[in-house]
Parts: sequence; structure tokens; C-alpha cells
Amino acid sequence: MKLSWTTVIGGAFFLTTAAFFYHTFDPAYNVSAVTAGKGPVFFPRILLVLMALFSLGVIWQGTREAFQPIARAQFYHALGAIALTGIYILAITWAGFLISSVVFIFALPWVLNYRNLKVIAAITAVYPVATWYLFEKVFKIILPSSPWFDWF
Amino acid sequence: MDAFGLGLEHILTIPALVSIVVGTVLGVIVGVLPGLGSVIGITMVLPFTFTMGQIPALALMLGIYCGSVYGGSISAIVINTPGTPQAAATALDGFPMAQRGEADLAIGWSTMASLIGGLFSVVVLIVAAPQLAAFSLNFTAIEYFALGIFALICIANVSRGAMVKGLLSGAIGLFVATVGVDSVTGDMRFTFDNFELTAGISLIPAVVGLFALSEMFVRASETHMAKPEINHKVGFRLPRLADWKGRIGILLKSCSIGSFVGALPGTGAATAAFISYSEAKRSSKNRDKLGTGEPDGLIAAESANNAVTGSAMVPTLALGIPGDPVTAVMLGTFIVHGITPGPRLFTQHLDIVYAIFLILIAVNVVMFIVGAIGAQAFTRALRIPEPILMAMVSVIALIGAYGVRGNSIDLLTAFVAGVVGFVMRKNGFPLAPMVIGMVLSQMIENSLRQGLLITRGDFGAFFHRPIALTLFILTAAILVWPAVKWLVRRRRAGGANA
Repeated sequence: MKLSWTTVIGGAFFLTTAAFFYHTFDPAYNVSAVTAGKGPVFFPRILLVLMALFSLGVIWQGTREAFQPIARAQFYHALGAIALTGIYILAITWAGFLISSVVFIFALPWVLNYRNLKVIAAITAVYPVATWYLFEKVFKIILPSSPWFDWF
Repeated sequence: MDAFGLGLEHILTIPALVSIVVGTVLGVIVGVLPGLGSVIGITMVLPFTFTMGQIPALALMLGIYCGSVYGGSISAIVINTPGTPQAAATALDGFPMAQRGEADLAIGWSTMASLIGGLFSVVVLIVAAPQLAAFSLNFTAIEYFALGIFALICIANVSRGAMVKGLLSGAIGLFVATVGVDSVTGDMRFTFDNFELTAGISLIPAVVGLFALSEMFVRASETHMAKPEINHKVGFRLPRLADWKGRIGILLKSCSIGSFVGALPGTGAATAAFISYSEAKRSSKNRDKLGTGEPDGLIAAESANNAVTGSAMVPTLALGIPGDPVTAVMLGTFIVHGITPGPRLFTQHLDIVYAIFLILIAVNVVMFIVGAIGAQAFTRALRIPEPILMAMVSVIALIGAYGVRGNSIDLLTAFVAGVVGFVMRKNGFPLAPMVIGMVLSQMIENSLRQGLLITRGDFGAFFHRPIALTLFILTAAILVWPAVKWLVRRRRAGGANA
């Protein structure tokens, strides 16, 4: 059997589906006063069975595809963007929107191999502050604030 | 005052009029920039709509929607790179015209065709949506169940060559939306004692992740292209009235194709544009010139893709069933603003329905004016370096994800959806069925359970109702058709070999 990314993804979905299906037999779901014998996991179970079947179909499809290796430079760019976005999202909750956005706007173009420092610096100086001001002060949407400063 | 008067009053306010203009301009810019498109455009303006009134918020979103479909044609003509997939067919004749030094005329043709296509589809919406809504008042839970399944299967099936992947994607969307409180019994499902998950997985953060963040990750993973050089004189020149002679037939045919295709679930403007272009290639008097800078090609592609905008709203407004990710996101934001699309919208809030019709007419007119005045200015947006643009889009899209509930878990949802979306897109899994699945999940589940209550647990009785039976037969036909085609092709190949 050939191994392709489609097979790997189909396999991952199948295992996740199986784990969720097993979970639907948790005694916690038996306490409900069921409606015509159709309790809270009645519909999800149907979906999970379908998902398992489709996952197997995807795995089978994947066996007919060739394995395509990922180019290293592209892989690092994507991984960098994903990691930076993850860190940015975590940082928003503990450092506040403005500070984390300043760092993100500066760092992302850098990670994506864009090196025009003047442009990056200008955008970093203006865009996060303008966005924060627009939403926080004009639209009154409260964004996560910094624990170290009172006003942002 | 009657409902029409109230609808008119709703849009004749400063915030609504400003939203129409700003939404359309932003939509055109989003359309011009390759890779952004209507869904990302709408998710970008979402945070702005949270504090707006209902009508200005609707106007902003509809402006983005129509403007972005049109905007894609400008970059297709000027740099041979369609700003949106809907404009791919436009490049076939638009760019050769630009190479001949007629970029301004090509933009003139596409703008006129877009205006006429857009207005044609609004007429279709005005005629068809109330009829469909009135018809659907006879629907019971069983018909809604059949309709939901039909819509989802249509969307999964559109993913050519990846039907199983599309079906898996749709089933995942349906399942993800079951997380949280069961609306029938009140029990928690798949929350694993996590309080944050009790409210379920919100649609908007998932869409932000699946479309905006995954787009950024996909672009990061691809080789960066050099910035496009714009070597043509860009402007706007209307075609002469005499040049329309012999082209009205193609225009009307393309508008009809676009409107019909747009009302079908899962098809969308790109499909409409290519069907219409193929039809022009078959029936146009100038068919031999198509692909070399012939206005017939531009008319066919642009009138068809813009004719989708209004008709795609028909099932969304009349039944509450979105036909594509754009209308799914719009449906989600309608609900955020207290508007629940469906037949009751037409009986209880007819003024809002009229306001939507009027907004769409106004947006199409503004789109024409904006295109005529600003075509050259919009192409400047193409100079923004892609990494900078991606960073800016990510920040504002994440505000959209956070702003719906002001909950940090939504940021995490967007991130997880972004990574999942990236992996799926890189491997040919369509994302549209997942979004539609999330939107339709509650309706499908509730109508299934209600239907089983009505029939005392007998699923076979679902097939006794004629409308439901018709929809089930159509669904089965859609599912079986690829296998039948495969068998026929195999038999023919076998016959040829023998």
C-alpha cells in the first residue's frame, strides 16, 4: 500500500472518529430523558459512522496517489507562519491586543522572507495602533488589554 | 406605512448609505487583490458590523459581496491574474484586450456587464424569493431534513474529483456543530467538562480560521511570485452603443445562466462564469475570436458571475439554507444581528426583505460608478507586498473571530480551524462543505428528530411525503451519478479495447 498525505489525513480522521464514537457510549449520555429513544448522541453517532466510512474512502483514494515530499523552504515558511500565529493568539490573552499585534505585524513579514525594514517599521508603527484605536475607541469593541498598562 | 416604504426608509439613512458605498469600495479592493475574495472580505468587515445597526451592517456585507465579485475582473484584465476565482474566465479575453492597449475598454465592458448581470439577478431575487418562501411555508420538519441533506450533498458533490473528501468535509462540519448543549434534551455533548465549550463551536471563528488564516498559511507555503508589473494604460472607457449590437443575446443568456446556477447550492460564480463562457464559445457570432480579446467573452463571464450574487440569496433568504461559503457567513452574521432568514422573514419582517432588495440594487449602481471612477486607483492595491497584506488581514480577521462573543476560546478555535484548513487545502479537501455543514447541522438534526417524533420513530414514513421523496431521489441521484459515469466510461473503454 502506498503512503500519501491523503492516506495519512484519512487515517487521522478515522482514528479521531473512532475515539469520538467510543466516547458516545460514556454513561454521562445515558442520563437524558430521551426523545422517542433518540438521545443527545443519536445524531452524532450517525455522523460518526458516516465520517468513519468517508475516512476509509479517503484512505483508499490516498493509496492511489503518489507521496509528494514537501519542499523544505516552503515547509519552514508555513511552519513559521503557523507557529507565529499560534504564539500571537496566546500572547493576545496575556499581553493584550496592542502589544502582541505590534510584535506580530513586525515578525510575520520577516518570517515570510520580506526584508524591507522601512515598510515593515512604518506598518508596525501605524497599523496595530490605528486598528486598536478604531475598534476600542470608535466601535467600542473591548479587545484584550495589557496587564501592565491602564489605557490599552 | 407599507413594507416597501419602510424598507426604503431603512436604507435612506446616512449610516446605511455610507455602508453601501464603503462596502462596495472595500469589496472591489478585496476583489482586486488576488487570493482574498468574498469570504475573507466579509470576515474582515465583521468586527465593524458588531456595533452597527441591522441595515448598515447588511449593506456593508452585501457591498463587499457584490463589489468583490466585480473587483476580481480588474486584476484579471490588467495583470492576467484573476483577483477571485469567479473572474478566471474574464482573464481569457480581458488580458488580450489589455495587451492590445484596450485595458480601459475591457474594464468598461466588464463593468457594464457586471452592472447588468447584478441588476438582473436582483430581479430574479425579487421574483423568486417570496414565491419560494411562500411555498416553503408548507414544509414540515421532514421536508427541511430532506432539503438540508440535499443542499449539503450538492455542495460536497461540486468538489470535482474529490467527492469523498467533500462528503467527509461536510460530515465533519455537521459533527463539529453538535459540540455544546443539545438543543432538544439540554445535555452537554463532547465538551469534556470544559466550560468554554458548552456554548459550542462558533461559526465565525471557524470561518476566519478555515478561510483567512489557512489562506495565509497556504501562501506562506508557496513560492513567492514576483510582484506583477502593470504595463498597460488602466482606465475606464464605455463601449459604444453600436458595439452592443449582436451582443444583447449573449448578455441575456449569460445573465440567465448566472441566475440559475447561483440559486443552486454549491455551484457559485466561478462555475456560472465558465458555463456561460462555454456557451458563448458555442453560440457567439464571434466565437472564433474568443480568447483573443473578444468582448463577447468578457460579457459572458462578467454578466454571469455577477448574476450569481442576487440569485444566491434566494435559498439563503427564503429557506435559511446557504448555497456557498459566502452566503453561509452572511447567514451567520444575519443571525448575529437578530435577523433569521427563512419563510418567517417574509411574513414578519417584509420591510427588511425590501431593504435587502434595495441595498442590492444600490450596491450594483455604486459598483458601476466606483469602477468607472476608480479603476486605475484600485490597481494600486496590487502594489501592497503580500507578506504585509497577509499580516494585516490576519490581525483584522482575528478581531472578527474574537468580537462575536468577546471570548478568547474563539481565537483558539480560529487557529485550530486555520491549521486544519491549511492541511486540508494542501491535500485537496474542499472547505465549503465543512462550513455549510456547520450552518445546517442544527437544522438537519432538529428536523430529523422532530420528524421521527411525528412519524413515531419510523424513518420509512419520511419517504411518504412527495416533496421530501423528490429531494431524497435527487440526493440519491447526485450520489450515484459519479459511479454510473465511471461504470459507463469503463464499459466504453472495455468495448474500445475489445
